[in-house]
Amino acid sequence: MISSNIRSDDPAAHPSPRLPQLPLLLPLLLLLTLVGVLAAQPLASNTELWRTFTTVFVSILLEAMPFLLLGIILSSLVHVFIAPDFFRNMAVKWPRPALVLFAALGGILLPICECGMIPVVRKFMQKGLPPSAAVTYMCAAPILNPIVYASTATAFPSAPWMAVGRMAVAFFVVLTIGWIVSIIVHRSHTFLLIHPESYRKTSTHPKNQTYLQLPNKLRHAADHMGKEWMETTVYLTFGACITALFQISFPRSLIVDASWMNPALEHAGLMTLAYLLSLCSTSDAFIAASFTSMLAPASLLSFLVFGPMMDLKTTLMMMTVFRKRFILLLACLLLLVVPLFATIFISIVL
Amino acid sequence: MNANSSSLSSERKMKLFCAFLLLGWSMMIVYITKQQLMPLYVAPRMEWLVKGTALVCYILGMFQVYMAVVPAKPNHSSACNCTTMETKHKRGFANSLSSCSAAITLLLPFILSYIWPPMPLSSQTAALKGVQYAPSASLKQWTSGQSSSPTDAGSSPKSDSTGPVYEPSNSSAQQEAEKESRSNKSGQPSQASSEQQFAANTRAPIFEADEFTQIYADLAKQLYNKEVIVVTEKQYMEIILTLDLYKEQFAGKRIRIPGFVYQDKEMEKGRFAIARFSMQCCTADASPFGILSVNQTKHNVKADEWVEGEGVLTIAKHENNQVMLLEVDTLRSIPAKEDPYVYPDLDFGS
Repeated sequence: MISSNIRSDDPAAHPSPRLPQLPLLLPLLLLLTLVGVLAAQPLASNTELWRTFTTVFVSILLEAMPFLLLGIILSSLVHVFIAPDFFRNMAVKWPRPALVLFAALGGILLPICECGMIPVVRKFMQKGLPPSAAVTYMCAAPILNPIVYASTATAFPSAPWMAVGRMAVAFFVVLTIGWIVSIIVHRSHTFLLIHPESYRKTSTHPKNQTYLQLPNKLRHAADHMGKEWMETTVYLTFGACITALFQISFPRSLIVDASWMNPALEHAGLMTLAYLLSLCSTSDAFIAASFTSMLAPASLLSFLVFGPMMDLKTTLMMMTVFRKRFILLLACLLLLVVPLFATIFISIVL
Repeated sequence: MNANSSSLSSERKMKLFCAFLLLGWSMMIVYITKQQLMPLYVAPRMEWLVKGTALVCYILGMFQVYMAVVPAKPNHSSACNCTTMETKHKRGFANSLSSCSAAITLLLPFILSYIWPPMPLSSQTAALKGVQYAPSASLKQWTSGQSSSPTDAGSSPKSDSTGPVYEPSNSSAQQEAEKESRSNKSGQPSQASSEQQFAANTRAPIFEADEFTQIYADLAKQLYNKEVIVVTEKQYMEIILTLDLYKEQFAGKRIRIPGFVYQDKEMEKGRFAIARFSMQCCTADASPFGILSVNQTKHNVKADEWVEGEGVLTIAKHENNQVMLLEVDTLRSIPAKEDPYVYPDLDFGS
């Protein structure tokens, strides 16, 4: 009875006026993109174009799905098997800068790419990880890990400092972001999260004997996996759909041509491209390598660092956890901080 | 009690829908594998991940069915306040508009794949992504650690370059080759090319290399001794890069290359490219590259046709860059490749 009380009362106690907006915003975005595609493509009536579109769309989903499932399974296991106050206790014991630093390097311990990141980050915050450290980890883990280092080094065989630069720039960027977020959170917690109350209190799993049995725990975990899978897949599918529309209609040379002569434009253009293309952090270095003859290394670094931290696909998934204004703020911060550190790094190296 | 049972049944419906989707994905992956469509979506090295996803989706889906059919006993239920967020989303889900759009989104990959079946990326997409004719640019630019702004022999509008990319001796070789190619076009191609080939064979080529390009120099030495250099499926990218890197030395050699025909407005009359898409992970990061060719046969090529061209390699100017130009004297149609994409050779250089 207690359980049913919680279920029926809770939503009434915290009405969420935000929810209806989301599904309306997303189709609108899709519609705008579609109009853009039709405007840009003279061959829009061509079935070949739309067959290419579904291929790219399903391809992105197939590629993201293993990592999303991995993230969800990890998050559900953390949910059930790790003590509710694990990170909260850690956050009390550790000084905040040390925690942010640890989160920045967390990708080495737990490399998760951006597709599987959101469920894990949300779970970590529910276990009491401070938002500053969580956001730091969210931005850091898709870049600061050995797999991405190796693939970047392979993509730029003649410029090994490119891979080093990607790591170094990402490291300083996430530290800056973590620091700024910790200031914001210090002022107001509600700025960041959609349901801040669900992170504040300690979650109380029933402590009785039946719950502690493994089958019940697994059932609980599977329950969570199903819910989180649905919730995240809706956003992932939307993101993949819009990304695929861009993939089939956006001439890459537009950005390269437009950004000649002006370094600031070049940075901005390449970061926009990284955002729209939503490439995997392990394969975007090869795309960047194909631009080397046309663009400056500093802006390529911006492309490589910005893309995994923020892209179309992940922005949509972030909306299940973070408020829109925070996502916007994060995007603006990254747009400023990433080119800054990339330029500093290049001027040191070359 | 009423509210309780209705919430329970809506939760059951959710679980069944979730199971339906998970099983749908697993069926779709099985179908893709059975129909051998997997190469259209992901690179072979990622295939096992996608197949694993099918398995995980299946298990998770069956679990959802089980949980929907056999409800948890009330006192054993997995009630904890950790689900508040999911409960709220479910409420939003129950809201007819938002749940409808979410459901359509989740079904979108299946519906669209049915309406527009998948197909390999074609020259339409290649035009958007930009075919690379000089992939070695990424190697050349930074080998000597020279400055930030890469340019191709001062051809791009960037003005802040510090050093020319090509050595003076090389550039004279280019002019020579270009002259030769021009004479080839006007005069008898076969005779000129055989002379050229003879000259090339007697001249001892030196493949200058540094630590980064050594592997390409080694491949160049192997390729150089061949009567006809065949661009193979396995090392498609590597061979083209090597030919491009040492195009002065390879000028005059006979090359055979299969691929699809690509044409655009920037090309001079009679020119086309024989190209392939190279894929890292999925179609989103597939990028096209190939060899610019000039058709000296009676065969009329049309876009997206699969051909195998053979001819003599020369150097020519294309969009202000010096690129390889294959003077195709033998051209035959070939059936479209089962696997339309090429992949980086992971054993290369080891």
